[in-house]
Amino acid sequence: MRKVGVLGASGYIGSVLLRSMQARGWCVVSLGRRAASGASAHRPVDIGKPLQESVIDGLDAIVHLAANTDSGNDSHAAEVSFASALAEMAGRCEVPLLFVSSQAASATASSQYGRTKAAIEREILPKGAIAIRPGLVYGGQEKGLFGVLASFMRRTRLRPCLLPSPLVQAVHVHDLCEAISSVLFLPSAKGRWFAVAGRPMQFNGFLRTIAARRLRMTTLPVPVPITVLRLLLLVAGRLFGPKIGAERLDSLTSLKLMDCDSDMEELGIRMRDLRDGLSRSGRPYRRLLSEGTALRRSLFGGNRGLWAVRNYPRMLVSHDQTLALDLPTIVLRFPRLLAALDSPKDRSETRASTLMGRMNMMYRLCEAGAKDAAKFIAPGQGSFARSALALLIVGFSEAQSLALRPLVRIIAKGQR
Amino acid sequence: MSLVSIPSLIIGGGPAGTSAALALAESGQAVHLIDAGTRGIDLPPEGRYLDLRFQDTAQWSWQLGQDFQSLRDSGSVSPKLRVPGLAAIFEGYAEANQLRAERGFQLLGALAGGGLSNAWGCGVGLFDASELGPLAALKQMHSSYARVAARMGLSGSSEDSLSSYFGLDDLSDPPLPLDYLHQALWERRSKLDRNDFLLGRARIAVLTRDREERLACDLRGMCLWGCRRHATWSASHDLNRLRRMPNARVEEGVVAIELRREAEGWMVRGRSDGEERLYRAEKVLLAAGTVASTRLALDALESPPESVRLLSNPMAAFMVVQPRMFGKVHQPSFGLAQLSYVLERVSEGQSAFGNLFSTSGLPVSEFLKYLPITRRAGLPLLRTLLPMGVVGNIFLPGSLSAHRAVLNGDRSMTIQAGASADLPDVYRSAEKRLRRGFRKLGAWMLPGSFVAGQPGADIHYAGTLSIRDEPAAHECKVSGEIAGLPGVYAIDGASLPMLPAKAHTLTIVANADRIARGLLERNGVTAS
Repeated sequence: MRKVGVLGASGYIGSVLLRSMQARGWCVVSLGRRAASGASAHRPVDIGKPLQESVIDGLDAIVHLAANTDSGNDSHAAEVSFASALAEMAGRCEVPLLFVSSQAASATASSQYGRTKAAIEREILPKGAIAIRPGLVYGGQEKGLFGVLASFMRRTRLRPCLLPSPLVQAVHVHDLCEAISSVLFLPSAKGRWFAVAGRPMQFNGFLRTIAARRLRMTTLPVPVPITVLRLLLLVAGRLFGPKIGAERLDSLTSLKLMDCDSDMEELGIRMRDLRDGLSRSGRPYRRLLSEGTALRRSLFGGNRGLWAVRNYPRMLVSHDQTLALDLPTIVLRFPRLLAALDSPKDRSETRASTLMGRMNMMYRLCEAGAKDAAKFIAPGQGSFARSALALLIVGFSEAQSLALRPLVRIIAKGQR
Repeated sequence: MSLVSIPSLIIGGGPAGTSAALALAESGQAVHLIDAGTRGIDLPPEGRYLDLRFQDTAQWSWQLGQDFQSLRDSGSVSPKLRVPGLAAIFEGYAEANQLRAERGFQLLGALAGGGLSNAWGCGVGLFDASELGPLAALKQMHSSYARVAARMGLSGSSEDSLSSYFGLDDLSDPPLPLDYLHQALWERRSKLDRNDFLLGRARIAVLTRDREERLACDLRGMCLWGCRRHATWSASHDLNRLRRMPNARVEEGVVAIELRREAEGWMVRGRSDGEERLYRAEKVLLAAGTVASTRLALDALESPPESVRLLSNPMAAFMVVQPRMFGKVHQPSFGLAQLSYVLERVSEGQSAFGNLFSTSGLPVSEFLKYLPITRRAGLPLLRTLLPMGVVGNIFLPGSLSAHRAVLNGDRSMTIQAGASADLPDVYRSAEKRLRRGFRKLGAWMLPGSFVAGQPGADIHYAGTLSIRDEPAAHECKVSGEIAGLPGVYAIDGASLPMLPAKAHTLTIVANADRIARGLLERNGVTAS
């Protein structure tokens, strides 16, 4: 069993990392001033004090997540020298050390935070440590910047629209923790840094998705020019101290975009869709369930036979599919439109990543449930009148589909 | 590595291998049979299909499989290939036997005790003199037919226009009852032009009365998914019997890779779980399935032919509905063939043969995908249409196929699909004649429902190492011995002299029995 020491195990990322490492069967020792709940053991460590060698005794690796949120040049210098000493000791004992840095890390960063991260990287990478630069971390419990944004919008029902909108690269906290655990014992990773984040997106779009998928509430968009906001924050910083100064805004607006694709491929990590990541479970089930519901109802209406819908995500996972299709909302809302897309000449498409492939599978899945059996096999006694009525319905339904098809095709194309 | 020395080794535990093994074992001979199978079939739960459809909340597990694997393959015509319980039979056959398929050939085989008969193999019929070729004059062939028919348990005996075509009425029990759809067609049979389109009861290896461990068919309609009563015959029943005999050894999980000639007899190299197995035997009986047996034989020949012809029956499926049945609903019925028909003289004087089936035990999705309308509208349509219709298949004479089996440099074998230039015309005229014939029976063939299967989809592979009076090196003597490989006998479909449209499993089983008894006779043993 691997034994990993984690500095900052009670923080936003640390608490998730602790659980995900334990799920891998690893033992986590929390390092810091206070014991993290859930850790198997605790060893006291203080960033401001000299490091004892006994701290890394018996550990197979160390993850350094702790960041000093106090200001002042002294504490930043202490942070750098602590990390340097830790890297030195880890290198001597041949224990892998991973430091969670930041997308803002840069020697010329406008924020002290970014400059400190860069300084630490400079010290530790030559000593064989690994660094990870995550994008904007979200998901899981509402903590960190993500937590601030979410709770602000929940409380005020206001959604800031920064003008101009900065670009951010989001990363789900679980994906980040997967990346940490994947890279930690990789011999080829020694002395390198890795970018772990999604593709760039508008910050305002990020907030909109949080409101829609996480808070599930309507929020009032409020345009906020960045220059005005910065001025306000500068004043606030003077009044209440630098903790709420303009620095954090600056580091957001001056982020350098990272090209993460090659790093993520090397680590074998795939970023989840933001919409999935923002759901309570952080998984794509919610969107897959609504896709499955729409598909089932496109074959026949009604709400019986939810068995097929419940099993739809499971079925897709068994076909190595975890992403929901980008179906237009109107099609999800009115599955009758989806039925019109079922053109016989497209039916040979069987790939599970396509709408037609999923339709093929879902319709067969629907037949394997008992509750919907009567939709497939006429129960009881047959009668001439019943069959005649059925034929009328068939003709009416098909005419409807033929009429709707061109329109739905345009909607589907527009979405793409 | 282990070495086993035995007088005779049988490769393959399908219909042919078990038939020969039983013939030898019952005469007191020591028998060693190797079979590639390790997993058997998974049977569905007890009950009738129509009841289970409405009541069984876990039915997805036997219809789609625990991991929904059945949803992966929706390409093939036969729904049998999508039954999860049968998946273990087909898995890995081509790879294990170093076989490849080209030009759209559907290559299928079984790595399971009982072979392909686990899924099919219930249609029966005696080959007539023209179909048996060099075997026609042998009285042993006819006594073998009688012996294996008694063992398998046939039914369908009926005085009808197919009595002489099947030639089995003396050996069969009366047929199962027909459902209302087949009964209506059957009652109108006198309207058919008797010289052209012949309709009769299906002759089939299904029990109409209990026999030992197998129970009579109770029309539960689970034929597609697997019969818990074992009413339909499969060679796996015979294999079980063989396993219980003290002088027989059935070794599972071994795939034969190579035959090597030795000073006296043969060395057979096999593989089991990556481990090598060696068998030294005077006589080797090849029953690995036509294609796999062919590769073993061609590979063992000193100078194998560049390619050999492989026969199969070009096939198609269709659906006919009877307007009189409008307003009916499904009733439980037998899921395999209820009626059979013969279309005479479809190609060079040879006949086509086919069966009619109820749709009541089949998933509606199997039909839904063929409808030319949206499935939302198609579903209520089929709910009305299916209880009015029967599905039919048609098999054309094997002479219309022209597949080639080519031995490659790396000792693997490739099957290339091919067909006679006449085939499209034969399909067209057969469809037309069927359409006309069914009209006389009061049934309409649904437009667009006649769908030809891809080459090889019938899985009636045969005739690569045909029995001839004057065989070439790769062909068989009448004794079943391959001319260029003394001591090696091809006892499965590979040695059939020809492939008529008629169901050929019974002939394979009988021929294997005959060849095994011939071996006994030459060794001076009286066959029991």
